[in-house]
Amino acid sequence: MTQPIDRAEQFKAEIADMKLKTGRARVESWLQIVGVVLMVVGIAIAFGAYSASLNVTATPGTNVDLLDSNSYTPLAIAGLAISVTGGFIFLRYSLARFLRFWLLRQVYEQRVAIDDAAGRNSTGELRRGEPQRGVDAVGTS
Amino acid sequence: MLNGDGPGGGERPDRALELRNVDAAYGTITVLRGVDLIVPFGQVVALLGPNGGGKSTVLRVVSGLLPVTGGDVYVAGRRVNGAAPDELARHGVCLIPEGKGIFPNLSVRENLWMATHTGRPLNDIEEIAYARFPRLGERRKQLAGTLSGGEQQMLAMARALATDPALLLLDELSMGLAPLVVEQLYEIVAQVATEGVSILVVEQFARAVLGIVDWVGIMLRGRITNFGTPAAMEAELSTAYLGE
Repeated sequence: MTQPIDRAEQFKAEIADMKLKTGRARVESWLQIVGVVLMVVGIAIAFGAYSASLNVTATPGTNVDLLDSNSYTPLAIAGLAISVTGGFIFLRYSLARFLRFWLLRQVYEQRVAIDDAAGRNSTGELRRGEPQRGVDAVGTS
Repeated sequence: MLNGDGPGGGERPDRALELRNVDAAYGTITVLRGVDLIVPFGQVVALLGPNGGGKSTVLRVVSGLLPVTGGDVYVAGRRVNGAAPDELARHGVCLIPEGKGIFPNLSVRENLWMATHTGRPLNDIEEIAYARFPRLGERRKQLAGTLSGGEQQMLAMARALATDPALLLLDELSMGLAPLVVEQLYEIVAQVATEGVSILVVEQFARAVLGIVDWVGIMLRGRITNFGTPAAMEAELSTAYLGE
């Protein structure tokens, strides 16, 4: 069995060494905003590159216009990559919160369903007139 | 402590938990207003009072589930405002929530399995749990949702104690249980306290806990209005509940 004083001392030491991660929810909200911003910025860059490539003027006798036009391709791809990354960040942090609530709801609903099946209300009390299957008589068989 | 009346009034023993002027709110609704509370190491403190007083909110704040909007929370002497619930739980702050918090669709054994995240092997956890609650040993393969309310509460306690908590937070242990079962559960709580675990109990039904606690706080409308020994607080309780 744990010695009382040892446990208290160990507890104090562990709490003292604990790395506090404060403001995690705030960070998640910020990352969602960053994700949306990156999506918009990425698409804007891609469209900007596309528009700029349309304005390349042709130089007779050379292929400079084609090279200029091609040079916008990596920029547009980079814009799309930024947009996809932003979308991933947004989904990651918005889904995490949603799934947490979803999991809690699943647990809660399953408990209610099982309580219903066992004839109890949500606090564990037997419903009036139900069989004594869930009675709280510890020590009796 | 209130008026120097409680455990922190004279000597200042080591504190497993201390709340200083804590405010907390659900959205725009303020629930706790300037709560001061001390739980010394190895002692049992009860927060009593009628429904809606903010008792369970205190536990949510201490366990990190609800951030404070004002004041400070100290665990083992360290300010832990904003600490994540999982961090606190990993270091020994253990909440048994109202409604038990067990997994109804898992067996008793599988529920105990959930406590292996601490690194302790399942066999050890089962051995400890069944020694303390032999009834659970008889039902180890039964779905937790089909246990009686008392057995479910025992399972929640067994799982919590398997994590070797240093600060145990109990929310409405007696909810929906027969008086005989409540008495047996609180006997176990008293036994756990003698092993050095500091315990903060929140209860609506005062009589259930007065026999086993060292200190009692009465909570009304988000404030601790009285604090003292169980004997001193017994008279105050009827006023708190009946408003006379």
